[in-house]
Amino acid sequence: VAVYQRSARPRFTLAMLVLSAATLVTMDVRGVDGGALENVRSRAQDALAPVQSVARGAVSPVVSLFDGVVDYHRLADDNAHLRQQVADARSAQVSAADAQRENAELKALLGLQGGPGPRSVAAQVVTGPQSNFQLTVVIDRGSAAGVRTGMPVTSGHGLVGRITAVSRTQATVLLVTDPGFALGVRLSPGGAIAVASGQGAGRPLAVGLVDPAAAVAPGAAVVTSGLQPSPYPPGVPVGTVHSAITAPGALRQVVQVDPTVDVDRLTFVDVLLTNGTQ
Amino acid sequence: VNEATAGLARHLRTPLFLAVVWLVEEGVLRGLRIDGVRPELLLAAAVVAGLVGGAERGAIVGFAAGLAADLFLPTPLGLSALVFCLTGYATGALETTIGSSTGDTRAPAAAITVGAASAVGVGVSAVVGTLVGLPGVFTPHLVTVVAVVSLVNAAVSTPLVKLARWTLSPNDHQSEPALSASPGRR
Repeated sequence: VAVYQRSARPRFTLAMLVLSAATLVTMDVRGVDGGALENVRSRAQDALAPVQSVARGAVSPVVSLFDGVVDYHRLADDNAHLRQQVADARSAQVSAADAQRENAELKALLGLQGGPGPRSVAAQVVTGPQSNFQLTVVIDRGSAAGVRTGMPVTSGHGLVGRITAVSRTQATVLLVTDPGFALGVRLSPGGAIAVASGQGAGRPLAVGLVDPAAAVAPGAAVVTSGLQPSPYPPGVPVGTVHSAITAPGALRQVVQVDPTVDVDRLTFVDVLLTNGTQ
Repeated sequence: VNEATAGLARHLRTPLFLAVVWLVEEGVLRGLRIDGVRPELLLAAAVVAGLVGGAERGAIVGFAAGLAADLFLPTPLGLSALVFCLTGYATGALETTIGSSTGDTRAPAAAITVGAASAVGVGVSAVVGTLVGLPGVFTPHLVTVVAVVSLVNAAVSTPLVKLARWTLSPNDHQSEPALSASPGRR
């Protein structure tokens, strides 16, 4: 009997623990806990934030050295690529300035007024993806700074993602490249409306529901559509068209979009203080 | 009084083991990404607990380690607890069955076991994550995740095993001892 008890106890313990974990997962996924689990999480994150800040400061030189060694070849390639982009951007800036002037003149002529953009709060990215299965980053601004779930997050180059969890001092941003991320976009030059979604780290965004007759060329700009009830304001750059293919007889184009923001190298971002409807 | 103090100290060792690993992962290594992959030391802690303390201790430490990890992850709370608990138990059960018969107690063997069990743990996480609705888990990036997590965990297995041997000493549990019971492993 003693031998049986010794061999049965680990299995009983395992069964109890598995049952407890499965219950927690079910409660969290179905949201039947009334936000209690999320509250526990946000309190734990706030409590450990000072420790993480000190530890990050202590090890950042080592991490930077490691990154420098590992990414040396990538940095050299990036440098050459960025020099080319700067040259292209200078050329495009001239055209854009002229288009802005023309746009302002035409709006004035038609009596149109653009409303003021949403207020924003700047934040620093404190960690990269927390999970290996969801593409998120953590920023150092939370509910104390007015950040709420669903708010869009941008950088100087375009859309970064949206807020999915908030504690008092930190917030989690779901990146635009995550497979669970989708948003309404407008494709230039024709202005076709479509839905873009992430496909994972290092992969372009997939744009669906594009009319085969719509003119979509590689390099064309893709911006947020801003159509209600989207939480994203219109005109925020999302990416540029990488490829657009229409199979013979297909009812839609297969469009791939390169994000304008390099989500692997985010440092500072802006949280747009909209209503955060998602 | 001395015996009571010693007993209390023994029982505090397991939380201390987890606290050390947790602080290293969440504090020191929180910003470290290797090819975009985050090291999962708490998974290694669950595996090592199974290796050193047996199946039951592996399940208990795995559950606690997973729950600690879940507090800082965007994935559903309890997902890591479930996976780490199963991985710790399976490692302990296999170690008791296979390891004791072979008697291979050297550090390379422990590193291979920790690496392989971590790879299985990531795979189980992917399957369970997909079952609870996480989108796009099975992408080519998953291969990189499995490779990086198993290699890092194998690399840290030696200090983790030493730490676990101190915290999960035979006097501290009554379930079947695995790695710690073999004389050659000391």
